[in-house]
Order: sequence, then structure tokens, then C-alpha cells
Amino acid sequence: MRIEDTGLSALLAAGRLPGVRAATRVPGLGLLGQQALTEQFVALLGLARAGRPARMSTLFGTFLLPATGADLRGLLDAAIAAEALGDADEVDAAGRRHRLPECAPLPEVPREFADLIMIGAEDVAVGVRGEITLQWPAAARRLARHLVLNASDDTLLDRLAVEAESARADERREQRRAALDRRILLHLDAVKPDCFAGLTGATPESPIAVDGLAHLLTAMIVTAETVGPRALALLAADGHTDRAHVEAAVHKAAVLWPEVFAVAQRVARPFEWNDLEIEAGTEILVLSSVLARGGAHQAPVTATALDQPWQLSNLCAAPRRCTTRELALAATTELLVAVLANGVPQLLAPHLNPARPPVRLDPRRVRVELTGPGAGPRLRGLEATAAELDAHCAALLDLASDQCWDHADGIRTRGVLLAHARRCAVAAHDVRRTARPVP
Amino acid sequence: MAPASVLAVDPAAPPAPDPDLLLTASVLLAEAATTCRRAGHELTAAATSRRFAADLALRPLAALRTAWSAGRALTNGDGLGFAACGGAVGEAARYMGVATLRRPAATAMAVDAFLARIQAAIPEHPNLATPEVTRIVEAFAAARPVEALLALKAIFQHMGVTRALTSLSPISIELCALAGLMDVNPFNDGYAWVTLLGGYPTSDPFLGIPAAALKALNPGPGRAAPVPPDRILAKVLAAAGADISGLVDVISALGNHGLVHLRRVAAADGQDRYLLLLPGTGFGKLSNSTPQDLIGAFDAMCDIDTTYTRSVRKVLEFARVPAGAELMIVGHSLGGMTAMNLACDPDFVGTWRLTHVVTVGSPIDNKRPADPFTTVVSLVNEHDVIPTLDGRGPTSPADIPSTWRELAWNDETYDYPLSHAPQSYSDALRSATAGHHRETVNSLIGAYAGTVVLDQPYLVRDR
Repeated sequence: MRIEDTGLSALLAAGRLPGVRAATRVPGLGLLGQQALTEQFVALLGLARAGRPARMSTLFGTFLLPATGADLRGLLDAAIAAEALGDADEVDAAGRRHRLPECAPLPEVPREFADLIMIGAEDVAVGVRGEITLQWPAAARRLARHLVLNASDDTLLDRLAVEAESARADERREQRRAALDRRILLHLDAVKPDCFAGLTGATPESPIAVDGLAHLLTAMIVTAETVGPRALALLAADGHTDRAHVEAAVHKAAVLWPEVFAVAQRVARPFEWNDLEIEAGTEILVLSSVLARGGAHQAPVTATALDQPWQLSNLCAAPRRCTTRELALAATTELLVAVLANGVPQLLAPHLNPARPPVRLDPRRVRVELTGPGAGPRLRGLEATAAELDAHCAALLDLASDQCWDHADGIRTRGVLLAHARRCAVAAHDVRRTARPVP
Repeated sequence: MAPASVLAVDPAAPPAPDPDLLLTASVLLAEAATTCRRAGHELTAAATSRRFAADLALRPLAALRTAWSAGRALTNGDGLGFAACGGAVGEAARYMGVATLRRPAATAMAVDAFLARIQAAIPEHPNLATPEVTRIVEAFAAARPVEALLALKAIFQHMGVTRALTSLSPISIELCALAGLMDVNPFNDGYAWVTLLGGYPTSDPFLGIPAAALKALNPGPGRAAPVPPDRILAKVLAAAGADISGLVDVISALGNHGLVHLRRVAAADGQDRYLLLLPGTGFGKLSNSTPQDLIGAFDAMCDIDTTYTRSVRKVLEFARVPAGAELMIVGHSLGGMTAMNLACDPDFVGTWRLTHVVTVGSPIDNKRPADPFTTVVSLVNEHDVIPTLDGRGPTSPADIPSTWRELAWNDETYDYPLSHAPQSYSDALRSATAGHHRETVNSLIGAYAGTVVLDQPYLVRDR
């Protein structure tokens, strides 16, 4: 085993050590994290191999590893042109493999679908206010159900889709996928208009339709739940929320934080690229960091890189964004545009500098609040609690003043309400005194 | 802090306050109590967290001032009362407070919220307006456990156990919550706080044992094997069609010793459908070798994955019920809870299409089916204590989804356990009292009418 083989094996093996992974989450140690070290490793490999793809023999398999984004895209382009790409496995950060489903093609997307996405997003966004990241998953799932099958109320549909997508074991994934297919077929028995299935004339007799609809539904939900909050964080940190910025933020989030560490793309038939013979059975290791960022030695994320339709995903084996994933990004964009029309986003957590985005951004930890235009500063912590206590005091006083208490039992109850109102007022005063900063 | 004030339940004081107004008062007090509790939590954190320690090192004067203000706020008898809670220090202080009967304002507000709920229930349940019940309520609210036990003993002696249970059943959740809040056990307060705003309990109300611990008492992968029907069951099966009272008769005939029943029907529309009948709890022992025991009932209340649900899966797998087949489950008591637990399981409803769940005298209101298109019908005899055990009493702010059909009645079976027996339910459904409900249910389950292709009882076991 050569030194670079040992290096890549060690990087993947480190992903299996929970202590190491936890340690790299400590602020300041991010540069020792797997993502950063992988970028460094690939950069060194690129220099050592003068940009030529390296054949790596690791503990986790033998791969052909292109070290620059340009090489990788060129190699995959050539493979696609030669129709040489076979099936693919996701390789997670610990070197474990998970079979990726084949990309289910969609019928031609009707032109009206774009309008449907816009109208559907506006309908779903009505009433999404306050801490919008709490309401975002429900809104995103509702939109996906509506757009794909006009089944806004069928909450089981998206649960099955997400379970089928997240199931790691093949048997479990197939069971969940079969359950999702049955659920979709239920809706195709009486397909409704004003949705993708209705517009494309999907029927229960066409298995391609079921596969395509399942792929579209899953992609819309997963994209909205992963890319959506991250884009929201970027927009809230940036302060601009017009359509152009929303579109840019969605694409930036999709490229900056791919869901997949790497994909092992099998070569089904031999082909040639840049005088290099690629044999059938070869596995091309597509590292998401190389594909998206172009490696640490290149510029981080340029406009040119963002324009490229390359994006790894655990949704399907297609190395480029397929039509389904493009539609999913479009739906996420429209939902963001519609939601942000309700107010101004404020990023509550985490702290984010759009000029220096972090290596990782967990979408579940993003907290964004929407405030009305011209709203005053948001009360937080103890000050907010004190304001709530004042509101309770007012509500209890208001109820105590009701004339319905004007009898023996009622007077006792009124006394109880007044006593508790007084406690709320005193408590509000005490809490506010604690929250007051020292002059 | 002084004990909570008492909203007296005095039958001789006309006119009684408007129940709606009392419920409004209860909700406002509950919300205020929750905010006070959170304030206690935040103030405790402000004076004990790691951030406070850092502030103490960097800005000692400001940090000490914050700690001083927080300490005053947390012990002000006119405000939050003895309100420290949360975190290691806060919880230790809370335990000490509970042990020394120093209670926060939040507890006083919660107690008065529960008392307002109890008072609001009186017009619909006149049995609550008796001196015996008033004595029990006042004893619980004033933290006098000995007096409460004596009052309970007195009501049992005066009315008998069954009538006393029936009388107290509309406010059983509130009484449990009051007992939990006002006793010296700091671990069971969670039950009261969860039920206060219409949530549903995840621990037992007496000791505060969490659901996960209850689960450990009910282990086993579940097992099912077909058995031939005995003569009584065969006779009842032969008479039972797609009629709800007949199906409840079958549940009666199955007994509570581990039998469940699977029926396959060739419906008029040419489709094969499946019907599963699940009986309730056997009361002989706390735990037996079947899923139909008391431990299983506690487990089914707090969790959706139980030995009973696992056994039912085994039944369907043994019978090779095809994936995607339409299925209806009718269950009595624990059987109804198990039916709802299966309906809550996306894995189960993703495999078989659970179109109908009909529960008979089951506490299911805290459960929500994973498939929004599952038709849920809950049959409730309002004298029956068991359906109220889910935390939704007559004056609870929580309600069931608008799509559910809760069909309730008051029949002549006043006392528990007669009011809970499946025979009582089937009799009521055949009588003028609830006959219209029978028609409603039969029309809802009409898709399951047809030729019976298979009638097969199964014996289910924990392991």
C-alpha cells in the first residue's frame, strides 16, 4: 500500500471514531475535521500527480480518484457521453457504502407546472410567521404533497417518502419504497388535476410514472428540508431577500453543503478520457468537496462553479442534477420567496458570516425569525418572559372584571384571579429587574 | 408560599358560575402558571449556569448583581414564590422546596386551574356536587394526604367502590394531577404539568415512572398461533355479520385470556378485506403470559410499540394478509388502544391499509393515526371510567380531531366494571339508548359487509 493509499484509508477510518469526530467540532479545531483534511489531502494528491487521476487502493475499496474539480467533471462528462456510467454507491464519511437508487426519469415537465409551483408556494406560505424555521418542515412537506399529487392532507405520504429515503438497509429501503408506491397508486386511482401527476396524465398502469413521482416527492421534501433552512440562514445573515438573492442562496446552499460525502460511481463499459483508458468495473470516487468546491487549492466557490449542474445527492445515482432535483430546487426557491414576502428574516442561530461559510451547517439547528417591517427590537430571554407575565396579569384582570362573577361563588373566584394577577405583576417586575443591564 | 387558594365546590351556593367562564379562567391560569414556571427556570439559569460562572470571572460586579436579583425574584412570596428549578442546582432546590412544602406561585396557579376545571364539570355531572367529593377535592388541593385518604375511604364506604369510582371518574385526571402537584414526591409533578395545558401524560401519576421504564416491564417479541374456536365462540361468530353490536359480541366471546380474531371478507365490490377483533385486559394478575394484562395496558397508554401490537403483526404475517390489503380493527378497552397504537405506526399502515379503527370503551384520545384517512370511531359509555384515563376529561382543553367520530351515551350501567363490559356496550348499541349510534357505525363500516371467507381465532402470547 502506497503512502497516499494509506492516507485515504486513514481519513475514512477516522470517520468511524466518534471521539475524533467530536473533537473536531470544538471551535478552532475545524481545520482538523475530516472535510478540511480531505480537501488538503486531495490538494496534495493533485500536486503530486500533476492533476492526473490516481488509482487508490484503500481498505474500503479500489478507486480512481480525480484530484481536481475540472478533471472530475471532464471524466464524468466523458463517461456519460460514452454511456459508460453504471450504478453507484454512496460512500459515507466512515467509508461505509449504501446503494443509491437509480434516477427515475420524469416525463416532459409541462409548462404550467412552473405557475403551479408559484401559486402552491404562495398558498402554503400564508400564515408562516414568527420563528419560521419551526414551521418550515410542515410547510415544505405540504407543498410537496400538493405539487406532486394534489394530496395536501395526506401526511402519511411524506412520512413514507422520507423513511424510504433515509432507510440504510437495502431490504428496509425496498419495503418502505413499496409502501410509498402503494400510497402513490392510491392517489393515481383518481388522479386530481393541478398537480404534476395530473398534468402529465400519470396512471396506475405506468410504473415509470410511479417511480418518477416517488423520486419527485422525495426530492422536493428532502431538498426543502436541507437546502431551505441553510439558504434561509444565508439570506438572513446577508440581509437581502429579493428573488435574485433567494435563487443565489438556494444554489449556494446546495453546492456548499452537499448531503453526501462521496459517491463510488461504477464504470459499466470501458471508455477513454485524456489518453487514459478506463476499464469496465472501475469505481470513480467522486468526493463532494472536490466536485463542489474544486479542492482547497482552488477558489472556494466561484460563480462559474455555481453555474455547473453538478451536485451529489443521496436521492439518486445521477452525478449531475437531474430534472427532478432541478424542480425540487425550484420549489424550495419559490417557497422561500413566498415566505420571505411575509417579513424580514432575522438569524437567531447559528452565527454565520456569509463571506466565510462554515464547513458544516446542520439545517435542524438553523433558527430564523420573521419580523414585520418596522418592528422594534425583539425581546429575548428574561425580558420576553417579563412581558409575557405582564400580559397574563392583564388577561387575568380583564377576566376578573367580568360581571358574571357577581355572586357568592363568583366573588371567591374573582378574588383568586386578582391574587394571581398581582403575583404575575410582581413576578414581571422581579424578572425585569434581573434582566436589566448594569449601568 | 401559602397553599393554593381553594375554589370551593359548594352545592348549596346558587347560582353556579358559568362553566365556560370557569374553563376560560382555567386556561388563563394554566398559561400563567406555565410562564411562571419558565421564569423560575430562566432565573435559576441566570444565577447558576456556566455563562454566569464566566461572567463572574469577567464582570464580577454585574454577575453578583444578577445573582442577587435572581435570588430575590426566586424567593419573593408575593411574586414567583420559591421558584428555583431546572439544572442540577435548580432541581436540588426544587426538591428541597417540595420536601419542605415551599411551593412556587406556578403551582398555586396550576392548582386553581385544576379546581376551576373540576367546578366546571359539576353541571354535567351532579354526582360531583356531593359533600364527599368536595371533601376529597379540598383535601387534595390543600395538600392534606391523610385527610384525602380518609375522605376516599368514607366515599367508598358510603357509595360502594363501584359507584364511588363512577362518581369520581369525570375528574379522575384532575385529582391525580392535584395529588401529584401537592404531595412530597418531586418526581411525579410532570404528570400534572403535561395535563395542565391539555397535553397527555407520559409517566404514571403516582410515582412518576416514565414510559420507557414501564416498557421494560412488558418485554417480549409477541407470538401468535391459530387455534380452533370453542363452541360458544363458533356460535357467536356464525351470527356476527358486519354489524358493530355483533362484532362486540364476538369480542365478548373471545374473553381476556389471549385470544384475538381475524376475519376475511369477500366484499360486494369484489375486493377481499380483513377484520381484526381485539379484546381488552384480563384483570386476574398484574402481568401474565399474554399481552392482555394490566402491565400491557399501562404500556399501551404511553407507547405505541407493545407486546400486543407485535403479536397482532405476527397474526397478520402468519395469515399472509397481503401488503396493501384493506383492514379494519375493532377493539375493546386495551384492544382499542392497541388498534390505535397500530394506526399510529407508519410502518404498519404503510404495509396494510388500515381503513377503520373502531374502539369500544378505550382511552385513545391522546393518539393520532399516522394515516389521516383512517376512519376513527370511538364508542363511549359515559359512565365508564376507562375512556377518561387518556387525560381528556369532560373539561379538558384538549379535544379530538374533527374527523373522528366519538359516539357517546349514558345507559343504565352506572357502575364500573359493569359500565365497561363489552356485553354492556353491545346491549346498549341494540337498545334505544344507543341504537342510532349502531346505525351510524354500521353505515361507516359497510365496506366490510360481504361473504365471510375465513374466520380464524389466534392465541397471542408475549413471547
